Amino acid sequence: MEPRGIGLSGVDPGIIRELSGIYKPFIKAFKELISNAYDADAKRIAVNIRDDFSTIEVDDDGNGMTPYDFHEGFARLGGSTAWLRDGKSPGGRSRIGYKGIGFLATARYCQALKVESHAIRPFIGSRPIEGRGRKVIPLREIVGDLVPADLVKDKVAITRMVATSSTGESRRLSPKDFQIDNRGNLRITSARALKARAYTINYKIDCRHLLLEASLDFDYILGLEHRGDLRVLADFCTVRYRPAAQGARSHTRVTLCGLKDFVVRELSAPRTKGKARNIVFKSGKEQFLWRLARTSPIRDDLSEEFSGESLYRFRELQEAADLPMLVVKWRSEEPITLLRPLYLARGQAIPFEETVVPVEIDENGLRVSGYLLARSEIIYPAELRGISIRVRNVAIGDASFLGWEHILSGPRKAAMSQITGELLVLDGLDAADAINPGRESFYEENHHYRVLKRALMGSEESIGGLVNKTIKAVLDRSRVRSQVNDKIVEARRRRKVLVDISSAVNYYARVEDPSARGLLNFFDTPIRADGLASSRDVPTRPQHKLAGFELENRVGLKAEVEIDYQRRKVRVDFAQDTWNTTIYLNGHYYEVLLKQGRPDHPICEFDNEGRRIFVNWGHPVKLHMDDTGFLKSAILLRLAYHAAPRDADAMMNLALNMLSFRAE
Amino acid sequence: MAVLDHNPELYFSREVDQKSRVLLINPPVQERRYHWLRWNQPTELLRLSSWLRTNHRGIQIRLFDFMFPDSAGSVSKHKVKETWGSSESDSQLWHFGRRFEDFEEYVSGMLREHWIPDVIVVSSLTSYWHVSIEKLLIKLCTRLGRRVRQAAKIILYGNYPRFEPEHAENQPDADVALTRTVQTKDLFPDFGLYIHAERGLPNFYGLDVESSSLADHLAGCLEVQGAFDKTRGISRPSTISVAFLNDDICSPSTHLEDVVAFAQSHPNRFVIEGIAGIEPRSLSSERLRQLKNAGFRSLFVEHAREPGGDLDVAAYSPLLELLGEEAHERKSGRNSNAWLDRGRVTGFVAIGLPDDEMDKIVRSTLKINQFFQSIILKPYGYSPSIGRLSAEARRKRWRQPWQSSPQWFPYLGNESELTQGDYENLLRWQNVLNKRVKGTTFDFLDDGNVARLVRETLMTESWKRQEDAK
Repeated sequence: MEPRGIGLSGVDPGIIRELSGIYKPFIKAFKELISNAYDADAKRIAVNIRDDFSTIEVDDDGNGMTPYDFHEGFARLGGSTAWLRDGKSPGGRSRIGYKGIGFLATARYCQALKVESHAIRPFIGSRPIEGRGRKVIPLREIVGDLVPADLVKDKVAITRMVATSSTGESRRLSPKDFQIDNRGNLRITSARALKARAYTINYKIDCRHLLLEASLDFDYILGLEHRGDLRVLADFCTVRYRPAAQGARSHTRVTLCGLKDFVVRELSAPRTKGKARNIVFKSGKEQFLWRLARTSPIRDDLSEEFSGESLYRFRELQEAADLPMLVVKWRSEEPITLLRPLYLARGQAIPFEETVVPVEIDENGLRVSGYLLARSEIIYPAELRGISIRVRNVAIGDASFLGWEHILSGPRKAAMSQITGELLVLDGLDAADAINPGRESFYEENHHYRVLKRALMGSEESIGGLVNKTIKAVLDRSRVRSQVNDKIVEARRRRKVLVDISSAVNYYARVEDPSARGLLNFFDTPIRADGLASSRDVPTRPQHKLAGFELENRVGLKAEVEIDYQRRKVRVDFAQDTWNTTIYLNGHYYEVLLKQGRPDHPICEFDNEGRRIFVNWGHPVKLHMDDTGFLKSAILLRLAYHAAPRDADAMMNLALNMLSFRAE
Repeated sequence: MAVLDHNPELYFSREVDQKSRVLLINPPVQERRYHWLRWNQPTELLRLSSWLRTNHRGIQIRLFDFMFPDSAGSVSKHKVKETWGSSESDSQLWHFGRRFEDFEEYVSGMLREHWIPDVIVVSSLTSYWHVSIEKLLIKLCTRLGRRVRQAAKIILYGNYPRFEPEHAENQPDADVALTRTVQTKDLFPDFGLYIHAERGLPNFYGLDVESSSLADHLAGCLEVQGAFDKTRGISRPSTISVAFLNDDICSPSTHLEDVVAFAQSHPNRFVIEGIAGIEPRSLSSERLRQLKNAGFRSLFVEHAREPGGDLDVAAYSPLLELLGEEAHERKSGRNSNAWLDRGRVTGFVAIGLPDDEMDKIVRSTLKINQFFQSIILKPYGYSPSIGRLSAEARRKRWRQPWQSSPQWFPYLGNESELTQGDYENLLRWQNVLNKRVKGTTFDFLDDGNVARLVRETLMTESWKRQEDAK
């Protein structure tokens, strides 16, 4: 069969280029092909990227297209038939594409687009025809001449015919009133029917015997910009019909041919050197696959490990959704099945239940279900930060905070880097005035969008809503973590000082010096502490509560501390060395105890019988020093005093040496 | 204070049983210099482990070896920073081996997993490296805490308590100082300890060439390596490095012939490191042949001194004859297997001894440099083989044992007439002879003793040759 050209009238190629430019970058255009396959009720969509990046194929097992479907829906600008069947596919899916410009999406990115399709379902059409008293109405007038008449003449069936009289009355004709003759023409066989001024003829065409092959030459089309007669674009699309194999299943294969150099460069780009935590720094292949998975109507990579109640509904909706399998074969590698990456994916740390904020909106025709998730660390990759909103199982734009990320500042803005969310729009937000072409964002003035925005972000005057609740959760956890951390750091510093004291004293005790002898002798002197021993203890460990959370001593923790935000508990292993207040001095272990003594009490006292050291935390000198400096000074000064009690110079010398001691 | 114990076998049989947990520690070294750093392997501890396992089946033993190399194969080192230095010296001390912080972390981890040691054995390669042991003990006691410390026994082991028992006895942070090591001569060192401790094996296997079970030990090394390689999925047999840490591998007690036999029956399976010393008087043609067949490719020859300090040239004769023969055979092309030449032999020259005389040392270096490609000036410290001194006498001379370390030239100002400057000059002279002049220069016209002697010696020697030539 000779290829035929299909014309596209009245459109400036410049407009086509502009429309294609809506889908930037390449993946945003490419995803339209997946959306088309989804709209065609495909169960399995296979993407095949050639080794040399010369072509990319999208092969689906959906309903396929008859030549008439192709002409109506694929090759006509704005000619989407999505409005038929109330925006549903024949299989009942809510269609993604409905503006009729999706096929142009890839125009900028390749030289040509080829389509091969086969449909089992018949094409169902309807045509108003003028009567004019004609007995014979040519088939061509009813079905058009898209397909040569001889290919379809035995394949057309009139399913309904309504005659309208000159007075405007309509009457359905019975099969006795007309017939299809052996030439395939429509014959009006009843006199009554002949009188009609006009007919409305519903028909169906069986195209099971036809395999459609079409080719759109984008280079040619876009090359016509500002040249030639733009009112008629001939050869816009070349179509050929082949006989289909007997029993062939319905399918569509779209092939992008001659990918542009910049697309090939993008796809073959290597990963950025160094740490590539964000998708933008990954290789071209990784970026393509990740973004394709994020923007396609496929199953989420939802970890089975997390089964919290908040996610129960989300998981249910996912499982109930009629979603196709998307398989990608990248060059000569093994094919992989893509799952939509989430922050709750396999391999991710399981969040605490309380950090998941459920989202359920049912207001004014808008129904949304999903969750927001607050993490205690910054979310990577960065592309997962923000809220992803899916309409008809396809994400609208990238995850975001609906513009509030540009308004907030300070800790609340920082907290946003720890929040992610997934929302499924079950009803609403699917009107033509809700989502912009390219499906990158919503129209701000759309009523449902305003409802959603208010529920999530609050009013325009101040941030509120569910996101604010999540931000508060992030900040609250951050506060708790910071306070707990401060306590740990304080304990570590204190421990280090005690170890330093131990090093200095033990080291100096080995130096052959009269004052060192005094030091050695002191540890065997039966000295007891007065006064400070009976003073109130100053705790060196947090008691009962920490950062407003209940404190629990738990031996054997893997980490130094565990924070259970859900139960509002902090678990600390006080057996660890950080909390140890014992020091080793010349073969003896001394317990260091902080006491709230009076200002006139000694700065420090040694109890060699009980092997305890009391440090007066109420001493006036403490006001002029930090805690660790005071602790070190108090103990070493007292030791020096005991080591050289009758020699002030030796005492000061010893004290200064020990205070400034620093050893390997 | 530590209690001295002279019967380690009895002690261990009393203190440990099959349920005991024993921690063995090879401590770091804090010293001015340590050229043989990479050869520090705690063979005595490894053999002790084997002995304990033999006598107490089921006993748990762990090892912390400060000298274990890092992932790059090097033993780490860093400068010791102390806010006050000893008045005896301003010399920079280095800490050789892993940091104390690593050890403290290790101990903390051990306690966290409730592996509480009953016995902790701290070994020592020399009698003078006790300062790092003292620091180690303080940190160990601090980390263990009172309860664990009271239940555990800390034992000093090796050459420090052996040669300085009185000093070791005064260590307040140890419980026992064993003045003798357990008899483990023919026991195979427990190299497997490293696999648990470090998830790896050391760079070399240190063995005793005088052990009658040497062949079994060599086989044991291959077995250990093979088992470890298997866990890493390596199927091809590895070549291992073996080092004999004996003073003289050609002594009458050597089992060098076992090494030869093993090398021949296991071709390309091991490389012998030439670290071991060789007394030139022990060398014979037969021994040299054995060394060659055993796989030695380089020799380190000890200094043969006459009682007065002169070089015992005759002691080097067998080796020099062989060098001459091999050179001749190589030249004539008669023997392509001739393996020995001057370039493969390094001669030691002892310095730091009480009877050091500059003239004799310089002459010895020149002579040995004629014999061999390179020389190493080997400092000596106090040892009973040099001069027996009582502990009291030693403390009078050197207040602390570390001062008798070879790196401190302990006989300076005592019996030796040389000065610190003389020794430093000698070390520079060594580099000149070895043609390694990295940033150090030797000024032949310097007024120092060494330069003067070198000039005199060179002039005398050249004059003598002219006279002989006449």
